[in-house]
Amino acid sequence: MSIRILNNYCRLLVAGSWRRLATSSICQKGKDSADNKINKKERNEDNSKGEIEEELKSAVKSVAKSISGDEKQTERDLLQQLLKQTKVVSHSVSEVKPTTTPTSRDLLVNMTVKRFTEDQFENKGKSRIKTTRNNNENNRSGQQSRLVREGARTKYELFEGPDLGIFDPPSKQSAPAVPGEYDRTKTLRHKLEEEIRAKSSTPPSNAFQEMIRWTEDEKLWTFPINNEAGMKEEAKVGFHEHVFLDDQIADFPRKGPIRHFIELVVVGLSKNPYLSVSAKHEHINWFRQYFKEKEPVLRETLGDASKFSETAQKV
Amino acid sequence: MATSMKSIRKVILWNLSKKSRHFSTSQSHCNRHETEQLKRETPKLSGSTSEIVIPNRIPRGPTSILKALASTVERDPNAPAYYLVDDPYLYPTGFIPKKNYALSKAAGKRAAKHIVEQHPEFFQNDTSHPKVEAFMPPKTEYQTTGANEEALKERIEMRRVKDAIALYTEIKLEEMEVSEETLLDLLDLLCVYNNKDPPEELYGEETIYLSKHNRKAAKTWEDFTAAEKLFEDLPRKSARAYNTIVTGMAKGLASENAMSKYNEMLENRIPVDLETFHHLIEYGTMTADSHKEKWSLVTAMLHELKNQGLQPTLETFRCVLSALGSMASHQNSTHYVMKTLAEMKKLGIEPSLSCFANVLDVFYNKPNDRSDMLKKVVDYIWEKKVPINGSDDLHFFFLAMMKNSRTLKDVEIATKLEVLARKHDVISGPVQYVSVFYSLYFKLLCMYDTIEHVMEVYNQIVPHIWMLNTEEYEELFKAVELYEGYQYIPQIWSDMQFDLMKLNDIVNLVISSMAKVKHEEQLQNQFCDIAESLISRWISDQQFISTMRRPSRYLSLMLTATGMGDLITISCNGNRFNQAWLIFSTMKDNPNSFEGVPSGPAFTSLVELCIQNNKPEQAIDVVVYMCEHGLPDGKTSIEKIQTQMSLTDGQKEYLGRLVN
Amino acid sequence: MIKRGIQTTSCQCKNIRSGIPKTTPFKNKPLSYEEAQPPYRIGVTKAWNSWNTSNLKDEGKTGETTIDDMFIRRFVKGTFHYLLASEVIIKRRHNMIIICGLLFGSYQQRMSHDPKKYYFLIGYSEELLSHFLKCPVKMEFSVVTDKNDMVFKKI
Repeated sequence: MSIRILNNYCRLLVAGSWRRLATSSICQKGKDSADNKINKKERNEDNSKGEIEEELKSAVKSVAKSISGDEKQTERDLLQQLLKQTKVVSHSVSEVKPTTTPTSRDLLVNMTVKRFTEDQFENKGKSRIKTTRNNNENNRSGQQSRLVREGARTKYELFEGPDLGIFDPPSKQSAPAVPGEYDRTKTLRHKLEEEIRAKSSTPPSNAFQEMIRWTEDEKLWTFPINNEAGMKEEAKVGFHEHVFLDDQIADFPRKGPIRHFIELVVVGLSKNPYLSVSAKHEHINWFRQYFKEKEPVLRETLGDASKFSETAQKV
Repeated sequence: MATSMKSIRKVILWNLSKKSRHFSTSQSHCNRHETEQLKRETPKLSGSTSEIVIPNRIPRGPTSILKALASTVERDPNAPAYYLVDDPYLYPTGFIPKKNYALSKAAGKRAAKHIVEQHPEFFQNDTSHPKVEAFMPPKTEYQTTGANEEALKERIEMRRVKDAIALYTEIKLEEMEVSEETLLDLLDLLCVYNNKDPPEELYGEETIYLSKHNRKAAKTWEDFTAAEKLFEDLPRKSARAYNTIVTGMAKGLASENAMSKYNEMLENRIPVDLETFHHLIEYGTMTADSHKEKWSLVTAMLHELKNQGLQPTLETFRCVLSALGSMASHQNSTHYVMKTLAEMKKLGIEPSLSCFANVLDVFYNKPNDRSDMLKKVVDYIWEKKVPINGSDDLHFFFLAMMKNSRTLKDVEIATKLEVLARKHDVISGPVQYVSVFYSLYFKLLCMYDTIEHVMEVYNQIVPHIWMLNTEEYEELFKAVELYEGYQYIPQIWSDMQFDLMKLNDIVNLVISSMAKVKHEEQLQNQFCDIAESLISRWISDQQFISTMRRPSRYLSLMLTATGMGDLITISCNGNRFNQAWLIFSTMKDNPNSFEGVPSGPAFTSLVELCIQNNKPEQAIDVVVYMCEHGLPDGKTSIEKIQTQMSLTDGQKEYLGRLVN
Repeated sequence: MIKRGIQTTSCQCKNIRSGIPKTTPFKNKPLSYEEAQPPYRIGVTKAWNSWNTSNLKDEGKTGETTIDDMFIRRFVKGTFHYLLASEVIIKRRHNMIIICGLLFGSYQQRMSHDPKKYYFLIGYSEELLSHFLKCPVKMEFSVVTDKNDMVFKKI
């Protein structure tokens, strides 16, 4: 938890709001422990001695106090984390190129170091080149980099030379994308952006392009030619639902003229290509309703053959 | 003819698609047959280790076949652009008529659309099956009224931003409950259209003449707008809401607001979308205090992107390069660009042309930058067949051509660029950029290439793809004179007739080119014909103007005195005495119509022509004219007449007086 | 409209006079190529004015298509007033309608029209007809600059 807070503040520093934080920490020294600590941490790393100063320790303590939970544990975690950072810094200072790829968290902290040292460097002009060189030539003095630039200008080759060293090659990270809180492609924003993209277009440059444009605007019937084009409702129901309607008449009398009649109706319906499935069902329902209403009359002549079974209700 | 060709293509397409049904049945039959054969043959092949790799299914959409067919068609340089009617009377050649015609067509469409919108009742009859909703008159009136969620949804659906905002404030006043989904949709709408009603849709013809390819510079997002208020009102600030508002702010170039919201997101551990990162990298860093700070912001965001478990895409790096392009004056920007490209290579991402456009921006930031990066980039595109998406990539070609003609002046690069641009139909993009592209290309060719090649290119692009302007004509005639390609002048002249507006600017150029040297008979005759048509046109123009009751803006042919002198020279070179005399007398009779001072040599050659044709009176007239205008060589001409011609006494006396 | 099928009997060719224009006493009535062809030459030296599949077997909408074609012809005649030099050819393909024809470049040989006007009318008709007929409409016109170019023979 506390580490997270630290990291968040580091991010804030990176994002440019460090100035505000730093000043506020000076003003409210002792009050806002977290801010205070940041200030201390930086100073510590800026010294790059690998030690944790007393001041920092007290700051960590105050943070640990402010965070509920195991106080000692938090304190230890914080200090360990800080130590790790300082080690990484001092390690990378000694080498021009860090051999180990630092973790993302380390990099973030590195960046805060860089920002701070750069600021101090400008102010004091003291020899801190070792630290700064680590953080690429961003901090080099103008003269140096100009030399580098002119020397390098002639030998630039496309796709050669050092890279940014941020991302890993894709083979290692072939893990599927982390599912987000929502599906971006289903939002209105995505739809609107697509619309805008489609609108800003040049006139078609040949007849095929024009037909593509029309297809995208849903003005042209789509290729390949399909007799069922545009039947959006029908696409949802299967062929069998049109043809096999026997399950719909399961509750009709088992035998007798009503059965005979309704079977003929079903045969007729199953051959009818013009009605939708729901219309066919409705048709059968109407007869069901009708025969049920007339049941008292029919019973007199047909007897059991007019009785609808209750158990085998339609599916 | 071309119309019928177009229709033939369509007929073929129609037949193809109709037949595809029959094919499919016969094909499946074939396949069955083949598999049976294979089964029988398998025992023989069992010894071999060859493995059958079944290719992955390629998903096909309704436009797949059309796209495949479209890829077989290239721009025909002999036909006008597709949006113009392919008829000699109806297709324009100059830039201005082209623009007028295209915009007239769009205006016609707009008029029809207006009628459809005004009178939807006439357009309700719909016999189409399947239904084509796109041609139904658009709904302009709201179905629902009053402050409720349904009404708000309707306004969102109809993209009425202003009305939706008004309705939302009403709903808020009445303290009604609105579902989160609707609120988020409203936020999406507000952020995408930047709190304004969507701009009126342009037709394709209008887009290429009216749209500007400008890079965003000014902040368009207003602080404390409806979107921001809505965001504050949201009961639960979800990831979607945050991502939407940050994207909207970044796109509106309110980078400070966007960055502070982004920091809020990080603080509250809200996942940031890849698209949001893209917008932040491209636009959110615009107002950074220094280039140094900007780059560190960009790298920090890239780290954060990785932290959140996202994989960078081509778009990510395009945005990074775009951010670098806007800090091109920074001393290390080239270095960063190369690093970014190396990173892309590492990740196996092929840069797009818009990436390269930013690379060029960085490498050729100052006018004296002489890097060979352009050559490398163009060679790379040429060999690697980087996908070119038509007019979207016009910016790259425009930029590359501009940088090339400013710094490297390499004809090979320019030619490759032009070939690529034409092949991939980049030239159907915004016309202004296309004409600058071609102007630069053509001027470069005129300066550094042989006239034969220049004319080869000229024949391909004039008049349908591009038409020369005055400055390009100047360069062209310079090249003609340098390489003595005078034989091309008659052709250039006939092409010029397409565009009478420019004729006055360039006519004197043509004349002076033609008058430079004497040519072999056939060519000289053609030149004389041109000269004759010019002088007769001038005379008829003057007559027409004199018959007009009141002066109006009639575009008459304008010639200078030098030009007239050159015309005389041309006629003399072609041994056409009558024509030369006509030009001379026109000049003598209208002394105030021609600006400037005529040149001497023209008249000496005219005097010689008079001597050859034994016309003493005319020769004396010319000499008198020469003396009056104080032209050199007057005396020598007089001496020539005196010695070489048989003159009457009066003429001799007159000449003698003239000498003194 | 006759259903097209395999014809087994010889053509009776009744009523063949009505489509043939009568000659004038001084043989000074100009006819264009299309007008000069008698009806029995349709499909031989002259093509149809409407191209569609509505008279094929099992294709419906013969009547609707014919009425639509009449509507299109009237619309085009009215929109391109005094400009049409030929019959309007209507081709239907997929759900596209392609309208072709010849236009005069000048009005009564006195003033030539600005091509801008043609572009406006073409854009206008395409869009409006598309909305009337609910399918993409395309117009393909050619311009005849001289009226006399249209004369095939005089009768």
